[in-house]
Amino acid sequence: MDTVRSLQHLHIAYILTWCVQLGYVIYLLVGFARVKRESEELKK
Amino acid sequence: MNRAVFTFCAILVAILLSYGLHEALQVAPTEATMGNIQRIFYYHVPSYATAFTMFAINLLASVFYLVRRNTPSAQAADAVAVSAGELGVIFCSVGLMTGMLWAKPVWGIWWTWDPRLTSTFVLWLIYVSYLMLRRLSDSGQAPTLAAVLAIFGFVDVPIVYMSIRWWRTQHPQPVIFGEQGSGLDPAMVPALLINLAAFLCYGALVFWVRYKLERARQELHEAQALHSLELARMEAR
Repeated sequence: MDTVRSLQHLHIAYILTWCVQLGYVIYLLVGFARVKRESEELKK
Repeated sequence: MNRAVFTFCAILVAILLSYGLHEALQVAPTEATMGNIQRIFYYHVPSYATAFTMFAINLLASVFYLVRRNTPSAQAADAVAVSAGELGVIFCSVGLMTGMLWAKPVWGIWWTWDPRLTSTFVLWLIYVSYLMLRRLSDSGQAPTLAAVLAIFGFVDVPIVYMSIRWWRTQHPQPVIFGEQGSGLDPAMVPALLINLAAFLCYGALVFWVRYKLERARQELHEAQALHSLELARMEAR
């Protein structure tokens, strides 16, 4: 087994996991900002 | 949950995740056959465990919604269902990606249509279609239809879990609750358990945030509908 490639795959897996999770958290924050903006528009 | 409690929980989860990462990469022993690539296991298994937990929550909330859909608590159940379904897809996607990254150096291929992988892919497709139904349908019946789909969709979860017991697969045999002598090396157990706990706590925390967002959206849609009614009434006068 190619040890260097294995280590690369291991690091990619860990980094990708947190990229996906971080991306989802950002998506949620954008969602909150949109709801807040629309609520304010409605109040006007 | 107020902001201070949420911040405290978030800090605790961050500490737990960091400790889990340290255990997985530094403390757990290197597996004899596969080497360091086996350390993907400490993220792969907890991702699926969290995904299955979320799908189970989605099932319970969907049943509750169908039973009580004419009561005030139905909207909260619907928010729980959609939040759990979305998080389940996120964690299932991570499980699929980490699995492929593990398969390539060990099997020499990214993917194979064996029962475990295929049933997991079908599960992912079912819940993606659940989310698409909710997002794209304008009908007021969408939550009801989605709840029915969620109940049928969950049938695939035990099939995924049992697939490596029922059929001969390229995917390894179970190391947890498997046959005698198939267990995990005791030195690897702490890293797995810590990461399992960390992923479940992180999942619970993000679930709470997603639930609050869904409730805020529901309130906004109700306010918008009332506002439209008011406008229509004023125009009619």
